[in-house]
Amino acid sequence: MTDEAKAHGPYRIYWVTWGILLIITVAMLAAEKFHFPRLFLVLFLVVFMLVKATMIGGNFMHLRYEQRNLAFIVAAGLLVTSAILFSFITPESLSVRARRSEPAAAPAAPAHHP
Amino acid sequence: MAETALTQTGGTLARPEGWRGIAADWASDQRSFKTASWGKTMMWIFLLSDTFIFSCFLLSYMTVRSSTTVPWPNASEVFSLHIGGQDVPLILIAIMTFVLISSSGTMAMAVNYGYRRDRFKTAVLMLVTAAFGATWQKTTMWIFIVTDGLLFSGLLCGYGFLRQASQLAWPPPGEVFSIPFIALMTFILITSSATMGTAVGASKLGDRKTALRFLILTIVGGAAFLGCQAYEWTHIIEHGARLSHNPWGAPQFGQAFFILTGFHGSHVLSGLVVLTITAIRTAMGKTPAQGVEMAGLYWHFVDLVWVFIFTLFYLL
Repeated sequence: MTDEAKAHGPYRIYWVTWGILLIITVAMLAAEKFHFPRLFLVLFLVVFMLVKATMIGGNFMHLRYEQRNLAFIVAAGLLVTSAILFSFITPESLSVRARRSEPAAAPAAPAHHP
Repeated sequence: MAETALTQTGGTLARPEGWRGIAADWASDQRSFKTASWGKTMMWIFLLSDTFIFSCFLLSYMTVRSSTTVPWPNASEVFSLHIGGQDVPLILIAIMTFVLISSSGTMAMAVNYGYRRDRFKTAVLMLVTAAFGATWQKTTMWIFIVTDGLLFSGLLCGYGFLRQASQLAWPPPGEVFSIPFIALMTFILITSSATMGTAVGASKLGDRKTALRFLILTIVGGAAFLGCQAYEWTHIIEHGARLSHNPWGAPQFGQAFFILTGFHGSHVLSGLVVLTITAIRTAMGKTPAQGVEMAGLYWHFVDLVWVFIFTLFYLL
């Protein structure tokens, strides 16, 4: 806990975070209602999901008050892992989809709705 | 070991602030994470490894979803409730998210109160100590081993299900997975093990009564979340969803749903057990601030995972 946080009351940060998380969650739910283009919706939701995750990690889990080193290790580990998983699994899943779409054109192929 | 880890590193040089501190930590020919306690570092390593597992779940779910040839069920319709004669989409999920975020807030306050009052300089033995003769750190380690064991069992079960359910021949793993990728994963795991040897935390202390109050609120919130999940499962199962099939579309949907939410739910349950023990010990005046903080870290992590499941499974 920093001196700055203490000066503003020790619990204020948690409830401010709570409020922001709540607002973001409502915004995400509301976004579903509007007929945004799919790509925009996905980007919107993913960006705010990451914002929420950062706020929970930083404020609730005290990562922003911890030694930078600890936060750095956690962030680097997560970034590297997600980059690896994403770069290996995404092309694979797309190619699986492409492969499944091909036989659908043939008469004997099972029903297929892209 | 605990004594060594919890000792202040008196006599070492002050660490520079900010980014320079990172370089100083790795370059100063002494332990890194000097001001982090053994327990906290351990908890972060566990959270990191647990995040990997949840990432795998979410990615396998996305893979299944994007590669299926039948339409994916509309989450808004599937998870709607019939209230006042009309379907309210996602209402239960919204309530669950709200409850979980709120309980995370109360947990954060419990940690804070714990810090402000706790003046016990000496290590206090846990309730579990009497039963198992284990220190807090050792107990944490066992909780980690048990939960991680459960997760990996689940991961293997899920794999088995997908493999069994596949209509096409299951591809050889060597062709599907990149072996260097597996090697790199192993490397990351070993690297995270190397960070185990890190040390030392300073405990500020807190108001025990208020800590207990907010711990109980957290427990109530967690129990409520679990109750909602139990209801949701009942709801879904009554509509005919099973691991092998469901009435809405792709059969993998049921597997992804039950496995993802099931494992998250088991995390919530584990968290409730930890929180209950922490609350009982706080009531007895036996929980050091560090103990509350460990439970808090775990609880926030459960919340963090839900943020991802909520967005990727329910919203997208």
